[in-house]
Amino acid sequence: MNRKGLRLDQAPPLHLPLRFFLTAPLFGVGAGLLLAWKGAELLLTPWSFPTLALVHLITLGFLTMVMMGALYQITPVLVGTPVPGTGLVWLVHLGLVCGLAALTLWLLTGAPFLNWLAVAGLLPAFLIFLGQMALALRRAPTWNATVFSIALAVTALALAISLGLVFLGEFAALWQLPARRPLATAHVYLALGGWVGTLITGVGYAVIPMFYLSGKFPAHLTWLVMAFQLLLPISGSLVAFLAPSPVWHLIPLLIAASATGVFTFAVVRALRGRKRRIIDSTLRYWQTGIACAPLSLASLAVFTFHPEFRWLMAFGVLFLLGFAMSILSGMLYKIVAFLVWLHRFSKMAGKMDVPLLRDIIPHRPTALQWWTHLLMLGLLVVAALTGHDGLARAGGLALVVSCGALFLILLRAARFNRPTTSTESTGITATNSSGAATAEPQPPSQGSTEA
Amino acid sequence: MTETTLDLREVPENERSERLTAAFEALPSGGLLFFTTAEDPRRVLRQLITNLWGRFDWAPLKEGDSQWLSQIVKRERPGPTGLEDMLIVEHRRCDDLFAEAEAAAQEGDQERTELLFGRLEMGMERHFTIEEEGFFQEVDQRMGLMGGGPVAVMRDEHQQMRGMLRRMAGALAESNLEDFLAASDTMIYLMEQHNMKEEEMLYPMAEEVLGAEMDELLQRLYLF
Ligand code: HEM
Ligand SMILES: [Fe+2]
Ligand SMILES: [Fe+2]
Repeated sequence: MNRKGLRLDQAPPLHLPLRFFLTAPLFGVGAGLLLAWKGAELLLTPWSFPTLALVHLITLGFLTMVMMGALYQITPVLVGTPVPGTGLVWLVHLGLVCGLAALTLWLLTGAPFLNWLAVAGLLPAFLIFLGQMALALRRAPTWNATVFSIALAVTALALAISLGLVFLGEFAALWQLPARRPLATAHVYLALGGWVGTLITGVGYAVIPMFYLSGKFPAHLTWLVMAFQLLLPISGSLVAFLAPSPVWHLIPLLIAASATGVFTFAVVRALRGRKRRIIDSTLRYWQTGIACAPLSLASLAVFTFHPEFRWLMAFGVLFLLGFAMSILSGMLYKIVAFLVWLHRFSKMAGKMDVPLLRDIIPHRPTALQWWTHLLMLGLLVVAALTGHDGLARAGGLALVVSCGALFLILLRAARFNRPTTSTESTGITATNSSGAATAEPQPPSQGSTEA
Repeated sequence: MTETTLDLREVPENERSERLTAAFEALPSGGLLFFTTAEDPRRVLRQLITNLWGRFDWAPLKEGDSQWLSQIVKRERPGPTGLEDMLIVEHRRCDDLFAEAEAAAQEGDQERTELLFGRLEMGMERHFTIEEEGFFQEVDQRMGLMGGGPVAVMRDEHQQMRGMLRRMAGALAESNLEDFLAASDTMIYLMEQHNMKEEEMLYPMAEEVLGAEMDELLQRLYLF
């Protein structure tokens, strides 16, 4: 163990993770608008360009955006070493936002310069981010399960991104790929199984015991799930390259099912045995996500035997929106409220009028937001299975509403900087001068306006 | 609540440790025993450390003019084997008290909330003291940190937690359980992220640094 490497004081400035957390719901709104505009056409085949645009607005724009912000925040705490070069983070964020916007527009319009713009944004953004993570992990004072899962997730992301950029190169006619389909399959296994799956389970092990006092997850279960998660992208890619018959895809599917099964079992047991009996929106979101994970795999299993695209689209909705977006939304509420509190109010913790987490993010709006999320899920699962155009558009609108509400709740939290006496605590921007008297080390407006 | 309590207040000094040891031996593994003393229980604790070290966990629950309440648990595994073992046991005990106090407040049971919260406050304060005046100092000296580094952050967070405990106590004093719960919901994140940093990083590192003279140090810390 490298003792001198241990630093517990390296939490980054508040505006750094917040800019990712506040942008993510906006891309969710974008995805909803696209769906409301184009309708069921987007749900008919996974290979069309507009569908790819929709998929990446969600995977890159929402999921990866949140997970990157979260990694900047939690790596110093969980790994015990600072992330270097935080001065470059604004560039990562800008590159991701512009690159993804260009990618989306290119997929929708096909204007060639947009393809280049996408690469010009995404490539440096991910190079910097991955470099920072690699350096932080290399300096890790100790390698426990959490550090391992972060490393696994980031490696999978690096490979998925590389393949994504290689695809863009082919679209720009820079080269001709000999094996496009297997590479695309590998891209999906790496991105969804390796990156999204591993990071979300890793977050679960870290926060469920913390939030609900449920006791630690048994180490053998976490290592078991991680072993499956390591095998999943490897086996998935191998099968894609070597095995022409779809039956072989049952192997990665079984591995994914095992990982999901063990993880679901562990989470359900932990939540059942939790000592804190509170029910909040984050708990609701965990339950939603945990329910959707096995359903998504069931739908993928059906697709393996009945290769009709609707089963694949239902998988996409259940996994991306039902599992990943649910859990990340629930996490956002907790993380954002706590970070705002920690940066602005922890120094005055003993005072009776110090704002509490529930002042920063009140329960009721988040509960309503959760309902809109459920409505969206219901509409889109049915739309994916039936191809019903009206339902697809309605689901798109529901996505706009739920992500829009998420954004507004988080924005209010990011701008919250003063104890309020009334329950109506809007108009906080007008109080910057008094906010400066609190413990916030930077100008209070910084966190919100840049994001 | 069914809490059997051994009352040592009237027992002459030279018989106390005997009575306590006998009651302890009668406990099943993992069993819990409460006892009251008329003055600081650390006197009888000293004798317990001499006789039973490695087999029990002790914690103070209430101090008072002439009535001090403590608990001892018969350990299922021998220990504390090290700092990690000793301090993590305390974290979990405080977690449990925290959850129980919160549950009592949710049920609107002011009296029981006060009882449990009092124990929580006491346990947390003792734990902070053990860390700040014993363990952190030790780590500080061995590693030449001069009061800086990871240990300084931990001290800072202790101050914040003390603040939140005062905040909870204030709400409880006004019989405002609603507000008590809102404060506890903030406190839990502060406390758990702090404990996580200690358990995952600081304690393992300290075990390595402090190495050999562990038992002696632990016995000293125990009396804090
Ligand atoms: C620089 C970043 C990325 C680029 C340029 C990119 C590009 C692409 C391209 C071109 C495809 C279509 C492959 C084909 O069918 O030939 C694709 C598919 C896909 N990508 Fe990415 N990708 C990137 C990152 C990601 C990430 C981070 C995720 C998930 C977190 C992801 C999830 C997916 C999924 C689920 C598909 C399959 C979608 C479908 O077939 O409709 N991608 N990606
Ligand atoms: Fe501590
Ligand atoms: Fe501690």
